[in-house]
Amino acid sequence: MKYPKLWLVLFASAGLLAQNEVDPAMTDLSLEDLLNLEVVSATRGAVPLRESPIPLSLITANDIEMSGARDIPELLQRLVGVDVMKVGTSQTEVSIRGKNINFNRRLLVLIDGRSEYIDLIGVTLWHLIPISVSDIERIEVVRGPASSVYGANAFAGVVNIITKQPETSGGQVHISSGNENQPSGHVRAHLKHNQFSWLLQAGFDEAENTNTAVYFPGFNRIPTTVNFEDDASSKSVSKVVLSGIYDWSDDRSLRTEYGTAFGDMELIPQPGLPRADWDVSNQFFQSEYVHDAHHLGLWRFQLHFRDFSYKTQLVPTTVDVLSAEEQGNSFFPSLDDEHLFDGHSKMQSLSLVWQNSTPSGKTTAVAGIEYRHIDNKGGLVPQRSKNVASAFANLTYRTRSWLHLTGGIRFDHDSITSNDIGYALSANMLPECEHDLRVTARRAFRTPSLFELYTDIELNVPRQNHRVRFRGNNQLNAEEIETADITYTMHVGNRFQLEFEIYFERYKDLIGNPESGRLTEIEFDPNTNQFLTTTSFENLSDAESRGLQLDLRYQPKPNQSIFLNAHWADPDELNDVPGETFFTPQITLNAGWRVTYGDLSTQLTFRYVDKTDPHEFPRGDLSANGPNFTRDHQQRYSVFASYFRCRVPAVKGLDLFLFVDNIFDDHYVAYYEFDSVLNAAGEAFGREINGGIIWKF
Amino acid sequence: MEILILCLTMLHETRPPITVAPGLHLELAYDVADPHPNGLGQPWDMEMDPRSGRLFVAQSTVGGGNILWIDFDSGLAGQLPFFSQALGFAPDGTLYFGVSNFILGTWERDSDSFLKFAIIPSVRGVDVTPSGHLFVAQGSFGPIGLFPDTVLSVDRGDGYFEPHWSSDDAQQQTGLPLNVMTSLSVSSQGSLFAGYHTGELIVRHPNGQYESLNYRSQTIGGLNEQPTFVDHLDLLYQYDVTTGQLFAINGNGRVFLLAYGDDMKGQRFSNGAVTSDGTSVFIAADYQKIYRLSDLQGTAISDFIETPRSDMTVSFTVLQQGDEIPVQDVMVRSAAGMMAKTDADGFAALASSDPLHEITFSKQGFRLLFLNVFVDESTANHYTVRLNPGLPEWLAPGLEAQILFNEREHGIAGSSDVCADSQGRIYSMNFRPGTITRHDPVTGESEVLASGGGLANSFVVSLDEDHNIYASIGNEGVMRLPATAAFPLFLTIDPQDAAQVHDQYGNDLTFSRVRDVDGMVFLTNGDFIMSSGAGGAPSPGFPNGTFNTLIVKRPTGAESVYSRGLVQGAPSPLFNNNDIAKRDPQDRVMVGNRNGDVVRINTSGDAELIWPGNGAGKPDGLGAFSCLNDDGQGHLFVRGDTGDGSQSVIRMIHPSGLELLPVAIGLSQCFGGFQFSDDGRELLISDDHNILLIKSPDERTIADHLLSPKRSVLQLSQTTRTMPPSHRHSYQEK
Repeated sequence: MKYPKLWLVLFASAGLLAQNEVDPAMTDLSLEDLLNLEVVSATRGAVPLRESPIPLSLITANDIEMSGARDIPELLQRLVGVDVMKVGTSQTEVSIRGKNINFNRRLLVLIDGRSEYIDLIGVTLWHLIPISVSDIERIEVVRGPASSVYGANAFAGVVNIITKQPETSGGQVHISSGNENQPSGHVRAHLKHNQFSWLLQAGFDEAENTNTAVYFPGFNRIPTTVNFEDDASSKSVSKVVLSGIYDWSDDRSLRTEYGTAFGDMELIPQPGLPRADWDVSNQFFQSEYVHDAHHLGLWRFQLHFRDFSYKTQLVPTTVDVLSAEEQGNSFFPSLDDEHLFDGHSKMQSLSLVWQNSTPSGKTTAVAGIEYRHIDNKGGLVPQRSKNVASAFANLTYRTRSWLHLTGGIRFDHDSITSNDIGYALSANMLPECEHDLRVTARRAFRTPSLFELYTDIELNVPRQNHRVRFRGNNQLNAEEIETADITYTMHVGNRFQLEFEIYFERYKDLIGNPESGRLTEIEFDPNTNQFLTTTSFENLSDAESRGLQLDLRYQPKPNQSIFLNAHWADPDELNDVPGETFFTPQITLNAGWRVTYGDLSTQLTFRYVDKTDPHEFPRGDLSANGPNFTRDHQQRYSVFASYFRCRVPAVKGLDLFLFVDNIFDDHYVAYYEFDSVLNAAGEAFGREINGGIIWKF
Repeated sequence: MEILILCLTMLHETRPPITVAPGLHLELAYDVADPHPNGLGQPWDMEMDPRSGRLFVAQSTVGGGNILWIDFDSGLAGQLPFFSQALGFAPDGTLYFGVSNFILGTWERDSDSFLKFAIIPSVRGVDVTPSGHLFVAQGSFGPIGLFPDTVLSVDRGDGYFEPHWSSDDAQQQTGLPLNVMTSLSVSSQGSLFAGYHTGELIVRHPNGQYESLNYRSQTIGGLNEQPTFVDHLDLLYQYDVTTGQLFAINGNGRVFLLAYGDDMKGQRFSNGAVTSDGTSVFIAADYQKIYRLSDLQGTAISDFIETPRSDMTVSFTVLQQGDEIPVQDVMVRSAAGMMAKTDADGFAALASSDPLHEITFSKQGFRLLFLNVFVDESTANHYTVRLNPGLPEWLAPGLEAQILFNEREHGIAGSSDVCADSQGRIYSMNFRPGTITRHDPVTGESEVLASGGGLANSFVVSLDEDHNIYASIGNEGVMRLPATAAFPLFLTIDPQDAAQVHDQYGNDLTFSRVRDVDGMVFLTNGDFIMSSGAGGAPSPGFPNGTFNTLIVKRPTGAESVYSRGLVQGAPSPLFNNNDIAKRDPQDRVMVGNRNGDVVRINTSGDAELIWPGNGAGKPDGLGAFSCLNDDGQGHLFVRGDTGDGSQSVIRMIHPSGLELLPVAIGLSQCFGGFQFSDDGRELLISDDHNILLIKSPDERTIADHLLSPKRSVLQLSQTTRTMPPSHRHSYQEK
């Protein structure tokens, strides 16, 4: 440890605080209250957390207030089984139960039920989500597949972000900055007048690169990861959301929202390609009508439009590569002529969901229909569109007060990949004692993105005399996943909860984009002295994974809470799927301690991320089915963080906060890949100190 | 025509059989010839497969190329469908091979799959040590990689490669100019043996020191690529295809000549292959045969070499060609290491226990002479040889020849191009030392104008009307030396940018960044035409490259494509690694090509084949990279090889287009510029160590003498082997 004295001071201070008075406004929910919180992501109908038929984690408003998190992935990383991988300052990938990867296409992210999944490239750009952390009421995370409810792409899981609804007039200002020059600001203002509520949320978020070139012996043996232009600004995003809510009556409401996030980000689209500037915007319009027809059930009608646009040059030009100073850059992929990939991907969706229960409450049903239309114009993929029509239903039957059986099914008709089905079956045993047991079986699917289906881009690697063609494959099948989970929960009163879960996952037809390396598939042109390799997307592999996790919560006092969770994974053949470089750490640990005393609240956390299998790929393997890369030099890392928040008595509603991430400045690289020629590197992250004010009015 | 045939016949030597060291036995192992599917074409490399015992041969064929395998036991043969110039087996049977000149591929035996292994272009040597360490020699003809002309250590797990050789250090320590790497062998002790394209064989010892071994200086087509192989007893075999000799070199550096003969010589190309199965040595070249050499007793060749033998004596008398006077102080040297100088009677004697010798006779001012001798106890072992001071072997009737400038007095060394300015001063591009020299025939003065800056890889020098000088910056661009510069200029290439050349005053002398320019000419309107060949990789303004293209640079400085050698209606362009470029009085540009084709481009950019390099439909071919020029009187002259590659000649294309009339035969090199005087009566020729002048003694032009010869001239025949014509090192590939 670099700063033992600091560590001791923190502990001592926190210990002192633990002895003293409590401010009710800053206390956690009791564990019992937590279990009774209603969640909507399991079935799309409201159900208490304890009764969720599928594994689901919850981040509460208080968790968010006390986390110091600057963005949503930072909130998620404390959850058991959630992998958060910082690829770069403006690019973070999130996955559940391993399977994380650059440009993760297997997680569905929702905000108030509307999808943030960009079907063009099949990813969620976390830093382009139009809301900020302080707008969030809670986050529900479904662990594992959820296509029976949400359809395609709820493959590894679902992150459903529920935003705060205005109940009074007021607002909040949140401003921060820190040692890594990452200023951010957010303002939230809400007005409630009779049946009308208005909400305005606006903010900005900026960051510079930190340690752009990651270099260590044996890794950058042919340095190709240095960007051509030093760009201090890695991320510069502005956001605005305007919402209007009209409550007709107690049982009817209409909510309409418009929001946009726009700015510049640096994304690494493919191992070996440089971090390119992307000029992006993400606009949405949503309208939701909710009608509680009492004995006829609860009806929810939602209309959603979204427009994702981007401009990027993707890679430098051949002339720039040849003029580059550093010799290694001569292996850089490039475009012959300057070309701007400029495109739009628009989505329109309609959904109607109905929920009802029998008067006895013994049976609850949720059903719905949806229609989505996705239209792509220009850019990385030529003009293409697709439609998805869906129907789903799930039924929970409480045979006994302690035995709930749930079955759900969803049918999707995709105009490109045809039909697919997701299902979920669950038996939830909730006896009137301290032990719960749930057994679940699920199936989900992921449809290929438009990029995987239709792209056709040709790059030049001049000093390799090599042209690389990326070509989509419109014959791709959807990927499939089947899961079985057993979850045991023990809760002792209001103070202690232990959850143990074991799961098995089986994957089929995983899509990868290897270049096979077969000589017979390479086109050699003696007239131009170049050879052409084609990288195409294919349904390549089946694989399996299994894991177990432990999640412990302890609240010794109302003003204190402790959490500890651990996840162990054993992916078999998952991490060596050709053309898809998954990262599945073997072990992850999270621990935290939170205490509030008077005006001061403190949270200390610890996170440990192990390597993938320590014996995995110490050297590359260029055989036909080899992974073509090495995990040598992959790091395991641990991060200690602390968050302090203090009310300023002189000013009502004003808090000061200080967040120190990676207290001991233990630099780590979360993401990198290596193949025989092209290396990719994320960024190294060290200590980050962030401070600012939160003012609620 | 009859005179031509007579002269060529007299020049041709009768081919003696192959001579092998007593105790060795040579037999024909395979003679199926291309275009048979399992036929031998032009081998580049071969090796025994440790798993099957089959012989694998990487070769060019009529159909493009393949890897031929031969099972001597069963008599079966077959092919792997990849053109390769180098291959090597790992002890586990994995085959690594260059795939064309693009990448290193591998044959995974267990899965029977052929894969891209490492992106190393221009693979010219592959060897795997008994411990499984993979080494690859990367040349520089063809696509440019990260580490041209070096030996790479390649990780067999992931294909990562890094250099394990420094040609700069090797040059410095051996004192030899080293250009393109063309072969590789590795001993079990970790010594690396690399061959270069003009005959140099360099060893890198495990301690990192470099040393030259048995330097071979003769060439076919400008190249002498000398396949090598190290057997399991660490005996190095060196096969000189150009001279038809097979050497064995042991760990102490002892050189033993195992066999020689005309039947071992390449016919048109100097590349070939040599390997061993542990007891026999196999050799192959473009004569489309594989020979096997083995000890009659069945013992290893390394043991055969060490067999004790008695000393024998061989003696020589050296005379000057023409006047037959003895030449004193001629260095007489055997490849085995013995040497002596001739006395006043031109006599010298050597003593050795080796039965076969290659003897070189050298003295400055004379062409190097080689002689293979067989020595035994039963014969007199005396030879009389004649040295040539550098004149052509044969001259057209009525013409006269003289050596105008030479190496010893005027610094002419490896002259590859010559031109004259309006004041009659002569400029020579000397590629060996990398200099441009200027010579005044009136005063006899010579001076070095420029050195460095990639001139060692420049084969062209040109002038504009203001006497500004143009040459190529190696393969990276074109330089312009102002006529008003403060000569001599010491040029350096920017280490960050190979196309940037500066003089010692910091002046940027880069004129164009177009790559691989080996021909340049000014048109009458001031347009500057650059001939960019197969090395015309992408450069600023030309993102798709300038491969096989004429580029024009206008007086405004703008550059654009002038011609791609396209002929309307033809399936492919005529340019084939285009090279030298000259113009005729009508401003039509004439271009020489790798395949010897002479192509003419009119002012509209249309191409026309004037003479095919392979001589198809014509009396003879021209040889690769033929040089050419107009005599100012409308007659086109070409310089190159005779069709069989045996002689370097300058010939005139008869006005009928049906004949080639020789001016001079038996020059020192087949390539190189030549220029006529305005009246067509004098011809300046750059010829390696000399600038020659051929002239008409009367008022008639040289062309007149060819068209209406007055008398015939007999040349002297030789039983020895002179230094064959030196050829441009970019003959095979650029």
